[in-house]
Amino acid sequence: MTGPDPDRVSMAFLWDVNSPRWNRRTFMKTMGFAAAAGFAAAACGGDSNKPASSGPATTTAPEPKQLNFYNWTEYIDDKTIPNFQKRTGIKVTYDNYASNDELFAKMRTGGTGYDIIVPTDSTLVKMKRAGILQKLDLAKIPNVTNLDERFRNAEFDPGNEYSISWQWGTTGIGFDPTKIDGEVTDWNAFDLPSVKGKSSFLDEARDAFALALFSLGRDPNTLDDGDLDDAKAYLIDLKKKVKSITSDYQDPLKGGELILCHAYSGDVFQAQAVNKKLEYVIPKSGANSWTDAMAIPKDAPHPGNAHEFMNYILEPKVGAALTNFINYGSPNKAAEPFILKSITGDPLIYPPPDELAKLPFAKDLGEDEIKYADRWTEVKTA
Amino acid sequence: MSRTLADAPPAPEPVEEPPRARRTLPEWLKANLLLLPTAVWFLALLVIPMLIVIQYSLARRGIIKPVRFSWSNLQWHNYQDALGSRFLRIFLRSIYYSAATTIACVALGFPLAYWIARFTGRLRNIFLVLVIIPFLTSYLIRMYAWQFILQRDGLLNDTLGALHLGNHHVFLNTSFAVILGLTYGFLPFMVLPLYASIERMDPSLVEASYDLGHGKVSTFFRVIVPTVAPGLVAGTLLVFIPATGDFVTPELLGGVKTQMFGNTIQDQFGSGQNWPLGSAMAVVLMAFILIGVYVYLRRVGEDAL
Amino acid sequence: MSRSKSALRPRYLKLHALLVYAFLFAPIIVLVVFSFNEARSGTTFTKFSTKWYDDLIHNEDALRAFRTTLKVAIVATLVATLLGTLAAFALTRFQFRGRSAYSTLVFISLVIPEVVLGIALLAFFVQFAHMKLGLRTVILSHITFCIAFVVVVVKARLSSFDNRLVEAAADLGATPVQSFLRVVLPLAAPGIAAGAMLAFMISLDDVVITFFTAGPGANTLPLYIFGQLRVGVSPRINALSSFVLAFSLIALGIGAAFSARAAKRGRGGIDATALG
Repeated sequence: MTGPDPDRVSMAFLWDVNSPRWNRRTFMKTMGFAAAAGFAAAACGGDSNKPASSGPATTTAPEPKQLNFYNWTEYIDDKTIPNFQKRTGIKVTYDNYASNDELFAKMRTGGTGYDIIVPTDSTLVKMKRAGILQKLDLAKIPNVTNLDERFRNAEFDPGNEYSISWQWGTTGIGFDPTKIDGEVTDWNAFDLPSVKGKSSFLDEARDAFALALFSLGRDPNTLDDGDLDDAKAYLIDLKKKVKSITSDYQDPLKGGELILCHAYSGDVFQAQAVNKKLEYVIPKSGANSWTDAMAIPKDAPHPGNAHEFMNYILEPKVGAALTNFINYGSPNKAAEPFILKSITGDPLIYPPPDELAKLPFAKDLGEDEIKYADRWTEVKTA
Repeated sequence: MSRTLADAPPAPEPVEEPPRARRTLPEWLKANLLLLPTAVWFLALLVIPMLIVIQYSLARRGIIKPVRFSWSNLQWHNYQDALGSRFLRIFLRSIYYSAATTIACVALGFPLAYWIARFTGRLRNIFLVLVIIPFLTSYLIRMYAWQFILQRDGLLNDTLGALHLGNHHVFLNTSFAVILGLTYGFLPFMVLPLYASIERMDPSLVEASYDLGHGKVSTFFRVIVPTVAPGLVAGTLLVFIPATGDFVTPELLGGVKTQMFGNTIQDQFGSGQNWPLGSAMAVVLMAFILIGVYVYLRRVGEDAL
Repeated sequence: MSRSKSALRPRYLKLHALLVYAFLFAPIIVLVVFSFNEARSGTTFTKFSTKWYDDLIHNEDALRAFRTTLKVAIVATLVATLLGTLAAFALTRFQFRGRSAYSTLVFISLVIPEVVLGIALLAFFVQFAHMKLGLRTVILSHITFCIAFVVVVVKARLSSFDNRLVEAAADLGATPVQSFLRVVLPLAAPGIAAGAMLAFMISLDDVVITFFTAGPGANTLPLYIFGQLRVGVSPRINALSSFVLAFSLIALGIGAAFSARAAKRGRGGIDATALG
């Protein structure tokens, strides 16, 4: 269990948009450092073809050669697990879930038998707070230095105490420009007459409130009751303009039933593979970033193997293969040279630094998150 | 009515046959022996979980632990909240959807079950199995297929357009779509019990009724309805009750104004982060439905199941 | 295939049946058609292709999930049908104290919202019974929610059961066991078969309760599909569903053939049991 600890505040500045310390130079410096660290680590032998013996010894007590991995569906390169099994002899059981809320509800009750789960940052912080995750032993994950600085000291888990980021992206707007009269550049696109009754927003409390708060020009992590009530009113009003509140917007967006959706970047990129007309935009007034991160439940039966797997994923080539396969942003800085130029060169996947500044992660609000949860219930039932 | 026969005072037991002079067990013991496995099962896997739910419903919510229960501090206000006007509206909507679904299922299912039951042998089996074949594929997938059929440029609008009935109807994300989805999802739960009781009906009774000069309507109410009543009651229960707690259908076919009580409960265990409230809502839902079921069974003259 | 000559089966009944079948099969046709779609889309048909079926037979995850699902559904259906039938029989045949308590339990298992039962069962398994989540916990949970469906359907079938038949059998010298097997069971058979079919159906399709009670390696097909649907319906999912459909049809065909043979051997009258 971690309350908001004072040490974290200084870390927070790094990503707090409003922080006076934040500017392009600090960013470049951090990036540069992370890159250097990453290359160094890569040079020190992160080659995925090397035999297991080159990897760090991770288990002190003998642990069965088994790893129960619980991840989102189709969120991994086909080769990632077979290569890991071949190299380490650890048998991986790969199961899937489809929603953070359900994952959290299930993990909360405990005893599920999984060794690695991959919650989204907003759920990760809830899990940390609920005390269901174990602290990582970073000595067993030397490749952690391959991570981009942004993910080494992120809001949701400074210093990688509990998690190693898997992939990341942004929360913006997916839309079909051929069916919309007018420009879609910001959240106010929901007001366009041609969009009325053909749009949707996400069925996630923090994401929906972030939409409202960014729109209203307020702090997306506010705890001010007035701001939150305004956001609530905004969302209840928005509810009248949209067709549905849903996180399952992919099919309707592809098929044209919805023409503008509050959406996660990766989902829209996947939809684009089917419907070429679709576009994704990161709203001008700002939006949240998200990341899915690997973590180990407290009661995991094979934590040693879980550490070994995390270290493996952080190898530059393994990380690059993952990203090349699923087309999301990689938190792995050292992997970037091996990632396809079409991905690293895409400003929507790898936003330029000045835009990145407007894309913070959602903050861990502790017990105060109830303020969001309760207002969200009011929005849903209004 | 024939179905009251079973509830009549116990008939003499055949085992009292003198040659095989065996001691017979008393009725209640026999009944309880037959019920023992189910009783043990339900005690472990239903009663205890139910008690857990009730315990949750009286606990305080928490972020660190989802529920914080203490005997000295029971949170009865969760029930007050669950019965609040905000949720009441959604509760009534659920009842309305479930009732409409049940009626639609009877309207579609009764003639079908009747039609199937009148066949014999293999044909009857084939028609019966055809009813459940679609249900061997995932419910979610079928709801997505309905999305495809009901959407703006979907099959239904195309068909209506071809018939010159206009092709700009909005079906998806409406109450209509939700009731349609629910009806689709629960139809076999009506057809199968109806079939099981119609099948037992003796066609010669129908013929006899005609011979006695009764018309179609009179025959329907005098002969057919009494025979199929148990099936109809069973079907109604199997459709109405689970439909009130459904949440998948409104989520996939509904819009912003079609949330059902099941969704609200689901949300409390998810984004609402209020397990105690969700549990209290579930208890309220169960209590209401149970009371409703008993009133209904009294009305239709069935004994308590 | 003799048809009764009753005037109660006029043409409109047939038309009605046809329309209801069309309603039932409309989405199925959509998904089968789209399983042959070449593009990775569930919404626009581009070109005929069987590539998603090739993809499927190499998809170890999906096939494993399918086998798990079958295992769960078969065991759950058998146990639930047995328990449910015994219970329904006791509830119809005997008057005793506590009947309504049993009925209440049956109704509770029908009315309890899935997510609530799922979480409560999970809490029970983990915190009370100290069981490891896995296939076992999934099967136990499935049996729990299947029993009620069997009880209600079999009960409806038995409820106007004529006790005089049992008496008659006894007069003819049948033992209770004989009269149960020869008289009661055949009469109840269509109800039992119908109940078993419902139980099989809901077990095969359950997502929510399975999600909460499944442990590593107990991924069932509905869970697999649920996960896949996060990215929308793909022809892969449609192919998988069509495959399951085809599999069920073949299994039913074989079942029907066996029941036809059994019927020839003179055990007619319970043909419907073969369907369960």
